Amino acid sequence: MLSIENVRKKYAKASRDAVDDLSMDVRAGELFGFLGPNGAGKTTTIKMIVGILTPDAGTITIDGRPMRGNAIDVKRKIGYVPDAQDSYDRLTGMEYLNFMADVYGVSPESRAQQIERYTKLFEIDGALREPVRSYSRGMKQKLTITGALLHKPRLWVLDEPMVGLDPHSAHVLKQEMRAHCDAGNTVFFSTHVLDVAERLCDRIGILRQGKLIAQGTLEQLRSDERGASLEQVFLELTDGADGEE
Amino acid sequence: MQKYGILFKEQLCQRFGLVAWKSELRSASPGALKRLLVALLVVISLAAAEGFYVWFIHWFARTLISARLGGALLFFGLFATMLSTLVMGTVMLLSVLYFNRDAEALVALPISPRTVFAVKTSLVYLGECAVSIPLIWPVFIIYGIFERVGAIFYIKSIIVWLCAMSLPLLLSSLVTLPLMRWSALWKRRDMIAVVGGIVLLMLYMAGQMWLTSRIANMIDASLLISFIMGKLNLFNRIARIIPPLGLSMNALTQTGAGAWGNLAALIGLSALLFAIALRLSDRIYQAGVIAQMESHQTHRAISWNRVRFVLRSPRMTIFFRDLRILLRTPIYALNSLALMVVYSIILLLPLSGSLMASDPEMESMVKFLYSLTDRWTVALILAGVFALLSTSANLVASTAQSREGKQFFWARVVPVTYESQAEGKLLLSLAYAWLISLLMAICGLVGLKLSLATVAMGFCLSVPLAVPSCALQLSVDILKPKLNWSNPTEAVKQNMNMLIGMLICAAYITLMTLICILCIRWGVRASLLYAMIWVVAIALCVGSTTLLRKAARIGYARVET
Repeated sequence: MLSIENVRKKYAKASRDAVDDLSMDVRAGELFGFLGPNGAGKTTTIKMIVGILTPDAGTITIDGRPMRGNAIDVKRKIGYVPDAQDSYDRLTGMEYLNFMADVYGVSPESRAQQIERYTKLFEIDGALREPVRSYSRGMKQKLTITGALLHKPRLWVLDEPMVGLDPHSAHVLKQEMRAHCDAGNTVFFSTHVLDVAERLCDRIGILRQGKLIAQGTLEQLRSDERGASLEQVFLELTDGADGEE
Repeated sequence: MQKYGILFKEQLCQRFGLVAWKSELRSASPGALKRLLVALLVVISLAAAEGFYVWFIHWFARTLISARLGGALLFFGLFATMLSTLVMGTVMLLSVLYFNRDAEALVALPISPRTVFAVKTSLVYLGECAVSIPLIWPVFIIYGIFERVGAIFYIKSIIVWLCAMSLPLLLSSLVTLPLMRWSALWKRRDMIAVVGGIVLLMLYMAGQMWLTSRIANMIDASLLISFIMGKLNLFNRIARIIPPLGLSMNALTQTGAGAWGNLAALIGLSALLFAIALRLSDRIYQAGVIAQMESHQTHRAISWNRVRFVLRSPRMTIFFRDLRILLRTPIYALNSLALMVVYSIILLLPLSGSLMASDPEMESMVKFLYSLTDRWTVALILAGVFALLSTSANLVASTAQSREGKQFFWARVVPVTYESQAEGKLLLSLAYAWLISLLMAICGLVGLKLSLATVAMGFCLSVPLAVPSCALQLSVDILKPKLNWSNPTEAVKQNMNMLIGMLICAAYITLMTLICILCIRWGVRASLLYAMIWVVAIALCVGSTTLLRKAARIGYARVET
């Protein structure tokens, strides 16, 4: 579903590559957790997957089609939740969701169904007529997630999706992520919450200083590093990593 | 005091990007050199305007001083500077004190509210001082030369200037501090701010027009002198109503103990207001900042059966999103709506009984329009005026991409071609321009009493004429947007693209005017010329929108956030 081949990205004036020769594959029906210390290049990778950043080298392919040259079609298959709540503060929640539905071409019937479903699930349906700037951090996150899922994308790309969510909503989101993958779709998400990754992910990738230092199922990672928990594996692999984010 | 220094340095670097500038200059990167070159070009173009201003002040001073009315020159200079500082400074003060992105973060830091207030006000003060130099210093210097004053006058001028700049800001902050705390409780505070701003602007314009209409009749120096002589009492009254103005005038025009006494009083007044503002800021500034973040939430449940959804095209989606943000952000709404008000007033002025009815320039312009018997010519003139006014300061077009700020990344995420996104923005820019044209057409009908057919012809031609100007301004902003801003004021008020947009519009309309003049000289009939301009305008529409699409392909892809 998602294929990253020899991708490289260096920011202007940076001394080293933010992402250095990254290659990985995420299959359909797979829930892939992306871990790494701060400044490892997780957000940069995600931004390249969704098209915000252009790789300096390498190819990113989604559902067999490279982003370059097929950007519009490929973007339709992605639902992206950014790490920062930079949404349109001057719009109301409903206007924001309608905006997202319009740009993804969601039919009125489908959007009515999706908006009602997710906003009730995340318990923000009562605030949809209020301006987004009046929302709490968690409410903004729920709104962004709802907006990203309206068009029923095959690939969910979520950057730290649990941040700001209350336990109930985090639980709902985890269930939705699992159900999405069980239906044959794909979820690619970054997180610092190792417990979530441990319990939820089919496979995990660990990034350090822009390089993928390990990937596989939890069992594979455990056997490689002989650790008991993901936390120990993570700490062992990323020991001495210098965060620069 | 130490925290003041630390925060001041940080804010200075943040505000003007000093560290980035220093490092870029050290490495002599092409980007820094390019920016320096652009800054130099701006300075050169502003120097021309300053030259004209100095010439005018010189003429004005010679006339006044020969009649021993030198004080009036200082009065006008100081009054204009203080008034503009009050108006512009208040806008800046509000944006940096309450709407900056760091407002919330600073509240959480162990820095007293008075320190934050003092630092932010100092920054605005510095900016306003810099802006006022070309306005007030020619007055001081030319007055000094004509009156043959000594060095003491210039020392006093420096003190008066520094105090005259601080007093409007301090007065403004004394009003702003309680108002912002109080207005946070209003549900429609943004709308109130926009309406209040427009009312203030109208009052400001009315005052300015009254003065202009009086002075415009007095190009003859003797008339000007007799007018000023007649109004000396009025000036004295204004100076009494505004004590800082009176103190400044006395400090500069009097000699000996009287002058120094007034100067001391001026400094004392500044210090007193500063102390009061600091004290007040300690009590209510922080509460005002926090109150801005509060909002009225009703959390009404939605009845899903009643909600109706429609599917819009991507272009219309972008159009409506930008429109909503434009109307709901006070600084954008104020700047765009204010323009409509200003232009409408200008066109309604010739109505009998209005203040400018006696303005000779306006009168001769209207007479010229009435003297033209050929309605095609009048329609051409009207179309040019409508197109010029509706697109010359069209911030909707010239800052369309910059206003995206940190939300720009959405433009790269959504599955909408960059061309379509740019077209959505162009639609809004055009809708705004056409609305101004329509408003002016209506005002032209009422104010200038022109025939409906002529005005309609002018309006119709202004529709395609506005397209190239808007498309080019938008292209510039798409290619080089100012996305890194900390409050919306910066996105429009401190955006070079706005100035470039004005230059593009001026060049475009000048070119079209030249074509018309040449055609008329070659004997082309006005009706044929009207048709020709239609063809040219449509051709330019096609060309400029093609260029816009190309700019979108390059610009959207190049900017990475």
